[in-house]
Amino acid sequence: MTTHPTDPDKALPDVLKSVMDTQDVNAAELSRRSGVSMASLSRILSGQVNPSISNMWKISRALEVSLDTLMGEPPLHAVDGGAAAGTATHTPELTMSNGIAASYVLENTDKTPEEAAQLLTNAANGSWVHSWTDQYVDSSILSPKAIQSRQIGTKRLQVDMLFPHDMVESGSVVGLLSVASASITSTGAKLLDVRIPELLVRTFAGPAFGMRGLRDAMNKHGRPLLSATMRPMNGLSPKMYGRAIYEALQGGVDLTCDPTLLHSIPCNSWRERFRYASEAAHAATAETNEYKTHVANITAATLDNMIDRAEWAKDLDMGAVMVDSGAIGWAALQSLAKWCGSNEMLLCAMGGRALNGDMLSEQLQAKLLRFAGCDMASIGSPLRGNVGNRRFALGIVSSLRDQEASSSPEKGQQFDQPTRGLKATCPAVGGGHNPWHFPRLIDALGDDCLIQCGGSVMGHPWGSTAGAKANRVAVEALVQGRGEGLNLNVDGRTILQRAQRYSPELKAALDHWQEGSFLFGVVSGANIRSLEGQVITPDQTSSITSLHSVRHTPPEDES
Amino acid sequence: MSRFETFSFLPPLSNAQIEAQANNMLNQGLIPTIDYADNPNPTDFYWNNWPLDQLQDAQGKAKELSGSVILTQIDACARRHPYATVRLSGYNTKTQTEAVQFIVRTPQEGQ
Repeated sequence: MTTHPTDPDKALPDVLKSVMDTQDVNAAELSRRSGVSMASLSRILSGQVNPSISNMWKISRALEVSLDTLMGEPPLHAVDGGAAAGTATHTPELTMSNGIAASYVLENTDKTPEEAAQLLTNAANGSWVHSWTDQYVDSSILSPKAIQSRQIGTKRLQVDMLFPHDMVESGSVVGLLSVASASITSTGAKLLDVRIPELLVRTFAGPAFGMRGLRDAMNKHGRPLLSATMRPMNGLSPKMYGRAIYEALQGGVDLTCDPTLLHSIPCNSWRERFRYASEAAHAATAETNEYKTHVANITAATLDNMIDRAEWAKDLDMGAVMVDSGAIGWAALQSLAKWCGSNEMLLCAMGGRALNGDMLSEQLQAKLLRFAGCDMASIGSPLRGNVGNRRFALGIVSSLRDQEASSSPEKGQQFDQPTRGLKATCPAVGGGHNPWHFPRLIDALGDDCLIQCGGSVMGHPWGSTAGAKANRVAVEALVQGRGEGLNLNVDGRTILQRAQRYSPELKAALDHWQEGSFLFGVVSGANIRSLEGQVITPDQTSSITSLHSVRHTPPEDES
Repeated sequence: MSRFETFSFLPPLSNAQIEAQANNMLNQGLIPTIDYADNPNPTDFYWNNWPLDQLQDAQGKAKELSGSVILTQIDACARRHPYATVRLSGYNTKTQTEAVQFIVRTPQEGQ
């Protein structure tokens, strides 16, 4: 420990006087502001007395300078660091590599970018005032700061913040959200994106199986998977429900799913439902020589109940379970991911987009679902709405599947995101697809996805088996055509029309459903900026939808 | 009715179609595999390999793979194992998964 060169008894009056000079404060004014009596103050200023800590504190508060400054003391680490203190390596700094970056948008705000940055920084630090405890915090301890603040539209600001990575425990999605939401507290900001630094990425287990594991376990290669969500949600007995599952699976879809909101209802309680569903899947597997499974909805009030149900599904030899990820919460989701990983079950996260949409963008939800460890996550269809929506949906897919997603704000990705070997989550594009949509859908998403097409399976005029077969023929014909060098966007229609010559089921489906733009659902969450810089809010998207006449495709979503 | 995954819902592929798929596979840089099984079932992941990596031409040089070479090998495999189902797969070394996999010969055709 080096001795301090200056004598504190002499230093204090000098420093205090110079501070008063610079601030243009005389002794009487300082006495009034600080509440230290004029007599004490003059004795302190003349160096006759050592001031008490409480008086020092009052003076430092009144002058808005730190106690260190009054003592004429350089920062502690510079004293202790000796010769090394001058080098930059010892100055801790918050950067993208050691900080969690989060991007926020402030809507309808009158603030300037600087004011907004200050507002969010204060909220993130949780300190509107300086408190006496601040002095005990070492200067090497980092605190959240704003790194960028800019106007992105009329009365719209985007602020990027950095949070120190050590504020989040290892592998905790909850921690990420809790830290990132600090800046939202009473500022009205919306969270657009979070970047998880590499320091933390490796602490997340991610999906236990992922896209590759799912394909290998189910032995399905070289084409998108097909799934049908069972309908109606209420009123079927477990056995009749199981029969509907059997019809669809036996026809050619790979998976059937429970509706997200079907947890356990009086006429179709979970235990019985799982038993008949598993029987249906096994019968279909035996009959078709393909692996078939039913995805059992284990969503329940408590994690204990959900694990009970997952265990029952495992006992019945079912391959996958699903939860309403938005409703059960992130901690429960991560617990289930852990359970599923060690019990060889796939975890599918359905729903949640609409529920979380107001505060978390879909893109961020997708990223967090992957980090939380979901093997499959439902996303909105890229065929929804206009070209901006398509780009946005592809950004979501990229967060789910890509190894190194680069920053592309027009896709909703504010930051690049390293994943360091995190497995890919299978995107389940959902709801309301019929064979007419498959060319554009497969062209946009490639093979590594699951197409939810329950509406056109169960709604086929000849029944579920024919519907499933029609969908499967369409997918395979398109994949084959693509392999022969055809462009699905251009030749998709021709491929389908050629395929319907040998598949009467497909012909019936193509006659029954209409082609045309896919307009179901709205993008919830972050607003999307189109190419022209025009902002499309969710409200506008829904009004675009309502302008068009009702389509023949049932408005099925994965809910 | 027994199905074997991808392309099982299409009419049996012609030789020209198989060759087109094989060429596309090679163009994408996928690693081709031909394997066969006498009694395939959905839980039977491991079929017998019909090796493609040690093919030689008449001069003893390593043969470069092409769609037509793969098709010849498929036929050779089916002739040697007439009662087996023969499968062609393409392994993507980047994503570590079979990006292509479909049945090219069934026992009925071998008879």
